[in-house]
Amino acid sequence: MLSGPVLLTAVLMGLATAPARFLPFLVGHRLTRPTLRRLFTDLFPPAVLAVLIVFFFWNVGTAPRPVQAAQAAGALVTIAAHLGLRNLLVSVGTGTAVCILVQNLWPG
Amino acid sequence: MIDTVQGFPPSPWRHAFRLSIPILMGYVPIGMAFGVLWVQQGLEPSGAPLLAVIVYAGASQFMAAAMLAAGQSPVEIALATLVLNARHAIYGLAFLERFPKWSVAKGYFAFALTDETYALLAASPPSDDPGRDRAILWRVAFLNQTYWVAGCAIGAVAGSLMPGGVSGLDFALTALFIVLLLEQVRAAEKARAALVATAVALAGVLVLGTTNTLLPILAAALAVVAVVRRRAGTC
Repeated sequence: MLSGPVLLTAVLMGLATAPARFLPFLVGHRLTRPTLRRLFTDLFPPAVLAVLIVFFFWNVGTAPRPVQAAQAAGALVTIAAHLGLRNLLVSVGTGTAVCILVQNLWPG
Repeated sequence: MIDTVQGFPPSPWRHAFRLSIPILMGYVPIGMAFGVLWVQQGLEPSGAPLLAVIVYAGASQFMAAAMLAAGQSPVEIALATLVLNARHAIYGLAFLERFPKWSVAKGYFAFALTDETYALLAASPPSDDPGRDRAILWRVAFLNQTYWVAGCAIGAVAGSLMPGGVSGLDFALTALFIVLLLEQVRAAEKARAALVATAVALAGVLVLGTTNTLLPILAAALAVVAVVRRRAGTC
């Protein structure tokens, strides 16, 4: 059974996320020129990915040593696997497997 | 990449599932971590999957657990959510041309466009058939939310019995971002955009840190990418 505050919080949070999620689809056609749309579809995705990756790895810097080593090893294996085989699932799978192994088998 | 049976492409569900597997590997353990945290804060277990269904925003959900436990009001939490999720406004614009008309599928897709779903789908080449493309887009979004809800529910039910799950499994999301970026930067113009964004992000986190700074740093990075492109004379 949910308490009132939790239910109210869930509803208000859902409403608070709605503008950011729906406004681009509601008014985006009117606000963006084709050149701007190309910016959003071609150049912003790699830029967003780059920013997210910086945030991920920056936060790893404050993590315990085994986590740092595991994430570094996982990243290197992911990159190597993808440069070699160029298969998304293989690259993500091997990189993650190495990360799990290093993190869980780290001595001490 | 796409397997075919007797010359036919796989069904949209099958195609969407294959695309979403890396998200499955990341969302379930992170969702479980949220569910465990939620219960450990003394909150009702059913609240964890409820937030996953209604809110479906990982960072905001973790924040809500901490704020609720600290006794902050629902309105305060909603305002913080509004600020934290403002970055989603950027994501929708990338899919305007792939969803030209309103439909239930488009409405759901707009709701379910998280960081990870955006990263996966914006970097994936669209299908030649627009109808099939839309069918795959909303199915990927739906499957991703299903993984997230399942993870949150499992974590909330398991509670303190499964405090950590398999540590390191959530690296799948980082690996996914790395692979998607590698695919993107094969084109010189996109590589330049990624390099510029990386430089801005590094400068931003050096100066501001990473606590509640994703939105301003992301906005700054995209603004600089736009300016650099304009100065290069291609826009």
